[in-house]
Amino acid sequence: MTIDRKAFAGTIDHTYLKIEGGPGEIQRICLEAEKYGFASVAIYPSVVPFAAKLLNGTSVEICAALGFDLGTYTPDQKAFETKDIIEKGATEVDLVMNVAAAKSKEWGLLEEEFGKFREAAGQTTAKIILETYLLTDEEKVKACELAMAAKLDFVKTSTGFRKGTPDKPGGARVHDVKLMADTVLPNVRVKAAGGIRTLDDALALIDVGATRLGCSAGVQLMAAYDAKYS
Amino acid sequence: METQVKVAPGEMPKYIITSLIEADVTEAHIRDFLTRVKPHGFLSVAVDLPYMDLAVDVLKDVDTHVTTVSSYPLGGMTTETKLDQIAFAREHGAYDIDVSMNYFAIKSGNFAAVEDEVGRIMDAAQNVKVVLIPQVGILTNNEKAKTCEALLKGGCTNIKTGSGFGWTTELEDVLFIKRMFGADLHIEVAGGVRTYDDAIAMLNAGAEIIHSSTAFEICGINEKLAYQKQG
Repeated sequence: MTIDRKAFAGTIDHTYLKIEGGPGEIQRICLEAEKYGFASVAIYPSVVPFAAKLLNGTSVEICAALGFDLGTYTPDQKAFETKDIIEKGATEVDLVMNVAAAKSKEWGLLEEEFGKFREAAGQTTAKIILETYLLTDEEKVKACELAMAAKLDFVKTSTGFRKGTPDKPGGARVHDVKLMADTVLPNVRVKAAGGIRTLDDALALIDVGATRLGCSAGVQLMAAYDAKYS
Repeated sequence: METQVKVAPGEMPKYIITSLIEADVTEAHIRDFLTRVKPHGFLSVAVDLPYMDLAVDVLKDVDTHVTTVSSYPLGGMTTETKLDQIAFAREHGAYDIDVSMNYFAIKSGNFAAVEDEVGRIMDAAQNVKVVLIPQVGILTNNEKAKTCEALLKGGCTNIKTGSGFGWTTELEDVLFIKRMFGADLHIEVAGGVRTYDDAIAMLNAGAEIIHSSTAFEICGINEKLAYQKQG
């Protein structure tokens, strides 16, 4: 599979979620995102106004990471946070879903959460994070179906914060992206996130249906892309 | 030589806030946790916002408090979102709430913004005890000092050194804060306190409260939770 350079760069949500980051780090990732033509910068809500000002007038989206990294608060709080951050400049919102609700098969609670998230996001691109390593395949599929029913824009594999276990690693896995893509495409798109460090990782995930990649290694991925294809 | 704190293992629960906060902790896990914690006289239990009502109900006839959290554990939420969560915690019977501070403002050197947020948090919490988390593991000593100053100016007198997720608190951190601000600040420690000896060392350094997810081990209590962390 080949993907042209611009399209490849356009899959990347250039992610910076270290809590120790100051203005220098945020400025750096904003400049990189503009230079390489990445889809967005993915950052904490507290950083959104600063980044939105820096990227005003560019095509780089401001993607806010909501509920990091546990996602354990109520649907109304999540809706409040979503509205608030869009008012403050976010143009995309990635929200950690209530994993515990899935684990205890409280599908009604997830339905409520996804519905309120969609309503609060309005026209803004809304991505729901499943944290796949904690879920069974059946639970992943059910969450994907609920995301489709709620007309969310993306289902996303992981927060990228969790190591998981050797048999259930915490990041994006080809198996999960394929399962999610098979369930939701073309109505809803798939974002793979967590542990994407090499060009081979990235291309394998795109190959099975991911159209966004959440990673902090975007600049290295572009260098590897250029080394391979130019 | 300062007086050494002597706490027998049987007395240790009074100094400990034990928590069960993870993405995949279900109501059944929380019920099991609360039932096992309840007989042992812990100072408080920390649960996430959706489990407030359950915790308050299960613990209503014992002295153990209910603690909850805001912008937790990574601290990236906006002030307005924190205030929304704090209002919820207050309305649902929290005794205290642990709130992550604005790390981006701290790292930007914008301590006026830090102080302003603290003031708004104190107003929103009303009679609920507020414990702010400066996350000392990511701060320089200068940032620790300025953050503690801003926190005191904003009207808060309680800090919890870390979130307990990913960053540990060193004994030196507690000694530093105690030396600089010990007259005004009550220090709670979280992050890396795993054993009885760890807990005693932190209390001796000036901490008043220990947060730990291994509270049973620290206190020598033979209980095993139904919840098992998935890596």
